[in-house]
Amino acid sequence: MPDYYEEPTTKSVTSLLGMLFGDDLAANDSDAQEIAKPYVATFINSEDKIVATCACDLPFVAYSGAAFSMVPADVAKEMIDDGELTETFLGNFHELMNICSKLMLSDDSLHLKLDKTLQPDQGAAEAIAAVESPKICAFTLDIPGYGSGEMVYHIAA
Amino acid sequence: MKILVVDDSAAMRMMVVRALRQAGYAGNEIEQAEDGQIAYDKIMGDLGNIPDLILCDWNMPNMTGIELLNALTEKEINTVFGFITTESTREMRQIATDAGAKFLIAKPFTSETIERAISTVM
Repeated sequence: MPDYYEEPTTKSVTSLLGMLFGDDLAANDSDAQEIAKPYVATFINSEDKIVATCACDLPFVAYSGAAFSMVPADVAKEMIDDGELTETFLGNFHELMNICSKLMLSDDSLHLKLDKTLQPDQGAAEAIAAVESPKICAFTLDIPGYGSGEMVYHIAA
Repeated sequence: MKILVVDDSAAMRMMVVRALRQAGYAGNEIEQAEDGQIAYDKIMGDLGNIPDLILCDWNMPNMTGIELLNALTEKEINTVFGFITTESTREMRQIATDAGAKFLIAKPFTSETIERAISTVM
C-alpha cells in the first residue's frame, strides 16, 4: 500500500518542463521556503483533502504562460510590470500545474490530482498552510528565451 | 484526412496542432473544439464530413473525453479516437481501451510520440 508522494527533483522538473519549453530549460534547487504573493496550485487526494501545493512567483507564471502560448517574452514582461495576468495566462498556469501533478506521482506513490489554481488574493497562503507536515522542494527555473522564476512545492509527508 | 483536436486549454490545442505539423500531418485538415460537447455538436452537425481521427483530452467541462467517445460509439461513429491527457493511470488506460480508444498519450508529449501513436493505428 503506497504511503507517499514523489518529491520533484531538478532532474524530474527539467525533464518534464523541458518537453514543454525546450531542452535548454534549466532547473536548479532553491533555498526559498515561501514566495511573496504566490500563485498557487492545490492538489487533493481521493478524499478531497489538500495534500500538496505548488506556489509560483509572478515571473514564472508570466514567462511560462508566454512560452506556452508562444507569444513574445515582452508580453510577459509587461504583465510582470503591471502585476496582473490575463485570463489566457491564468488558464495556461492551470494547464501547466495539471501537468506538474505528474512530478509527485509514480506507479508506487499515492494518488493526487490538481484541484484549483489560486491567485495571490484568493486564499493562496491559506491553501499552502493546509498541507500537513510538509516537505518543501524549491526550484529556480529559467525558461529559454523568456526568463526565470521560482517554484516551491509543499507536499504532505 | 480530417483531424479534430479537443482540449479545453487553447495553449494545449495549439501544442497538439504544432506537434501534428511537426509529425508530418501539416497537409491535413485540422479542426479544434474546446470541450467534448462542442466536439460532439460539430461532428453531429456535419455527418457528411466526420473526422478520421480525434485527439482528445480526458478531463474537460461540459462533456469529458470518455463521455464523448461513448456518445460517438452510441451513434455508431467509429472514428479513430486517441486520448492526450495528463493522468494516465493503468485504470484510465483500461477504461479507454474498453471504450474503444486506440491509444492514450501522456502530457507532455513530443511530435515523435504523436507520430508513433497515429502511425500505429492508421
